[in-house]
Amino acid sequence: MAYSTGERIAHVFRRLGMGSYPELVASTSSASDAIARALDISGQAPDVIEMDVPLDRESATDIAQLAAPVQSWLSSMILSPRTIEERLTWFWHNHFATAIQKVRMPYLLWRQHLTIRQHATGSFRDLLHAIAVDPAMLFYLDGGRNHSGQINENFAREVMELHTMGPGHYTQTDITEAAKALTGWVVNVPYARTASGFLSEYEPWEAVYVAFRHRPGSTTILGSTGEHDPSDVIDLLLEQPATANFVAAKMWRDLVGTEAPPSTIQALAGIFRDNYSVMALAQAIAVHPDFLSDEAVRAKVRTPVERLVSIARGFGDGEVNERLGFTLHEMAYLPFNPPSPAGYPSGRVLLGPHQLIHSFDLLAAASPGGWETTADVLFRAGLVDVSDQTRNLIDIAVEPATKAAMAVNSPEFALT
Amino acid sequence: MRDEICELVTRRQFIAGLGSSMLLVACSGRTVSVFEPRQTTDVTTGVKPGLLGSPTDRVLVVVEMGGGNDGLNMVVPYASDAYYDMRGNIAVQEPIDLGDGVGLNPELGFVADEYEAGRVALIEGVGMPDPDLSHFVSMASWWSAKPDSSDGTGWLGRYLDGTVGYTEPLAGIAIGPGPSRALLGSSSYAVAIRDETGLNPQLPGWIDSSDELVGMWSGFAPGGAENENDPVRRAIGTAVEARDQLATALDGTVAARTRRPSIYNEMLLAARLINSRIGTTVIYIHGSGDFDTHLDQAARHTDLMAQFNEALSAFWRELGPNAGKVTLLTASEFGRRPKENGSGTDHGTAAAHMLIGPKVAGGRYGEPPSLNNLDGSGNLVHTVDYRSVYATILDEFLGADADTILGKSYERLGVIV
Repeated sequence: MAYSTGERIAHVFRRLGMGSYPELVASTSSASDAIARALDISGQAPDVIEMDVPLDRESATDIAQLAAPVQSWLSSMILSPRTIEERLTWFWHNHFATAIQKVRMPYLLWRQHLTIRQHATGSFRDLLHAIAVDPAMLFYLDGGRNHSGQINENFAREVMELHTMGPGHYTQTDITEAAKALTGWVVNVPYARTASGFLSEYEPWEAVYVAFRHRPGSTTILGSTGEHDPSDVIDLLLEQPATANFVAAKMWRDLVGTEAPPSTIQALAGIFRDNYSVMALAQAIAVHPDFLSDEAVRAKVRTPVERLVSIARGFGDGEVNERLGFTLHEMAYLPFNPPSPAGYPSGRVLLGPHQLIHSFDLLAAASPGGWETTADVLFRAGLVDVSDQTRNLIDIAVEPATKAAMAVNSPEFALT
Repeated sequence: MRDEICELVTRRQFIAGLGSSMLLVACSGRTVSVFEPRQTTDVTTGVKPGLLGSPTDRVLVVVEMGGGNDGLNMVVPYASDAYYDMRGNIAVQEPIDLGDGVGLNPELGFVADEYEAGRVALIEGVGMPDPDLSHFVSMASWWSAKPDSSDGTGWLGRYLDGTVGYTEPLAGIAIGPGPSRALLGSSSYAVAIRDETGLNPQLPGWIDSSDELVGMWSGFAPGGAENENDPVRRAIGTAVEARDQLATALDGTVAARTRRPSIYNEMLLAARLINSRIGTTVIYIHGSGDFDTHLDQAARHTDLMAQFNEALSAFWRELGPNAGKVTLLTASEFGRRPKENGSGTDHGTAAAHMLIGPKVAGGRYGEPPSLNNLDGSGNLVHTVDYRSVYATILDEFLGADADTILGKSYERLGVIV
């Protein structure tokens, strides 16, 4: 299979952004121009909502408050000119997966989202330090419950397994020791009746380091012995070569969609480790010849979120209606609610009957009218190279709405 | 009633056939498609579908207790001082006595009655070697049963690969928030449904009916030999077929929309699928309840046990005469740590599991792990490999080649009559 230049340009935007970008594809003439444009973050940052600060825990745990953050985020994905920022913001949400199902407080997940957005194209070092003391994460992986009187290993384990080194580079002893060193952080919950209570000298919902909750004494973590504090633990993880390797390999799979040879990952990890610049890593991956190879194009299954934003961008009116959150929830792909700390499912599992049938639900992101012909519909769906069968089926559909439905549920659209 | 269903099926199939390659209909509750894939040799096992065992009229229902169910507060070692020492104020105080120093959680009244009737096998000490206390690593092991393999398939997916392949997309059904990795095969599909509406798009108002849309969409499915190896087109064909069959099976079932916990509705739905005789062999119920009781365990686990018990009772009642072909198995990534943490329990290792059904030789199996001989992380040392439970089910209940499916031979427990 040899893909056309147009399909390769579409591929660049699909992988370095969220979903299809028909207008950008139309205005770009080469794949290398597309890469440069997709990596350009000089455009205006998207508008994001501000949420009211909940007065207490009870008013914070209103699940209905999640609608606005979901809408705001989807809107950014659809409209932001900073395509790579949107891609990486989702990538890091998946990487530092945190779910409303456990945290229960939409305000905290939104705070975390803003933190991720702030660092998404910046430094992984800063991002990891910020996430380690992020209030939503302190709830999700029980860091706020990890204190001198009662060690809780949840975050210590997941930060090693999922966020930094990956399995096989640490022992259970490292986890237990790191958990001890990570003690001390709490979320400053207004009117909390917890051990520390509300600390009026700090902002509500801020993460606060409470010295008496920290377990004093020496710990030995990954071979380093000393009076480690939580920040030291994160620095130790960043010092491990496995961390850069793990993150580089994961970003490669996300952006390229293939398995890279170990030598490629080593080289990328070397670039990344320099100062943990996220954009340096993304750029190195994007300019690697494999990124534009036939093996990479349409190598991945388009996720429900990518489907949705593609439909909204091509067929929508710029408004993101509240219902779309429920639609994504039905497909187990609601932003802020990954099914596990390991993130959202990907690949073949997204081609099951459940996922494919419910992909039609995502038409709720479209606004009817404005397109007529098969060519219109293919353009708006961001499809360049399509089979005769697909073109014929869209031709046969009489109603424009049905044409759009066929295009965004075609075999070509299912892949990215 | 039957005529009404036939009429509906015919109409639906007729509409589905427009512009599609799927046409053949028999009013028998089963749809036949003209693009039935040819039998191919499975590249991973080197065997043809059907050689790992034949689909039978037996049905396995797995109930996954996600988060890590506390086996010690479900099957309670009430004669052990160590249990009460370590569990403090979250210890179960008055379990239902089963004799020999073991009792069931007091909320499990139905299970206790079934145990008395000889239809419950309690398997104690189920866990894995080198336990990893992470949810995800542990659950991935329970799903795959081949933790060293990276092919992503699940143990029941490989069972489906080896029995029905792509020919029976409804042989495996997950009930819950989405697909289950346990049912993921390399040459078979499983369906995921949430409720009795089955597989239906929820369309915005400005677009045509689901039937018409799906009918046209089925034109993307492989036609004859054309595109038959395209995985996406195959997936589309399978989705269309599965949706039609489920609609037929669930037509006329009374909606179970109640304010009960989801486990209740999901188990009732499982019973209805079994009663509808659409050829389902395995049903995997997941996503009901959060068993990860780090906090507030006393109240939360009690609720979870009560919900499970009520759902089980409704499930068997609904099955009626079909109960004879069903066995139910519990699954959970790990048990919980014997020593409580102040208000709950942290991640543990081994736990008790249950097999329930008329084909089960009731009683206690395995060996309760010692509470006085914990491992380095303060956890129980498992006595039964979870794959031994799987091997028992696959071999003794489903009549499948357990050793091939699990990649190794594990001890059979002799639980099935």
